[in-house]
Amino acid sequence: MSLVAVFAFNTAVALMAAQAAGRFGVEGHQTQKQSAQSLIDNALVRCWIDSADVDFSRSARNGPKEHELRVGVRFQVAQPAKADIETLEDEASTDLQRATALSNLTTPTLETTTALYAAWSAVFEILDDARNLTLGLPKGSISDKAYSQFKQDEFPTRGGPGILTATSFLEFRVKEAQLGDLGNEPANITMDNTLIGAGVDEVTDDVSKAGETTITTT
Amino acid sequence: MSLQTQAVKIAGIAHKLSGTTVFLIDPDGVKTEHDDCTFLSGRVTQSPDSGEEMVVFRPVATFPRSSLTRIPADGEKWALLAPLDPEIPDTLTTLSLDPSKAIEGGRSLGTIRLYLSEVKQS
Repeated sequence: MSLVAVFAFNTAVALMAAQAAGRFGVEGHQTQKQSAQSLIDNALVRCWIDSADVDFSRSARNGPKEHELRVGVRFQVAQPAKADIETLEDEASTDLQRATALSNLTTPTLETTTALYAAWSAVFEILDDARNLTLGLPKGSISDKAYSQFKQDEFPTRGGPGILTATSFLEFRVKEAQLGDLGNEPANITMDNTLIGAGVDEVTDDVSKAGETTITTT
Repeated sequence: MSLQTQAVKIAGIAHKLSGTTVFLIDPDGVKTEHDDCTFLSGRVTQSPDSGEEMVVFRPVATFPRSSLTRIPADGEKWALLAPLDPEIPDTLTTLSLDPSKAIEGGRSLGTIRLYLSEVKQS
């Protein structure tokens, strides 16, 4: 794969994974079904390339091409309620102790909302850090980086733990380096000797012979 | 046989099949033992607003209303200790009645259904 856009996307995912420091998990692809139970231990951030546009007004036919990349950053968080379980399960606990433990029971919706904002905050800190201006790529590789558009979804109505999802976007511009597709093999080039000049009959450039150029002279 | 009587009978058969003993703790901390409860736990799938499906753990306990000393009210904090793993019935797991969800179901059948969620140590 030679697309710099894909390389930059993978680099952004790797950067988040490296700097997550256990605060959330990172995956660079989408999934079809996700177990809410697996999200209780750690929030999950899923990334994918949402779109990659080319601005034709700036990209000349033979000039440098740029991809305006839009990376989807999706948060998946699930949390159950929290309480002093030890007191509730302890046979020796008194009614008063159990009542106190129950009064401090939190709701899954509160815990999940808190966990979602913590994960969002951590991702923002990583992606908007001045040291990560180029996402770890060489200077000048990417430009106009912006992390924005956080949109929180609704709580689902069913299920035990609270589940929250939210989507945000990381946008940046990346310069492409078109290397030439290996599958697109050009035909042999034959040059008219009348245009080449005295002493040279024909020049053939055979790509199938690894760029070997044959010059036939008289 | 009326529909209500049939439903109560079916609930009774389900109870005999499950044979689960659970403990209910009311907001005053009073702990009561119940072996007349049908306790089921399963998983449901649902789609959030966008994106993929979520597979969610959903335990449900159904009690005959007559067996409860008081009926849970909306917004109250209750806990239920139940054996989630049938291989280790002596190990009880704490579940909670989510006070942010309204109590629903069972009213016309003489039973009350409690939707529960897991609880983590605070």
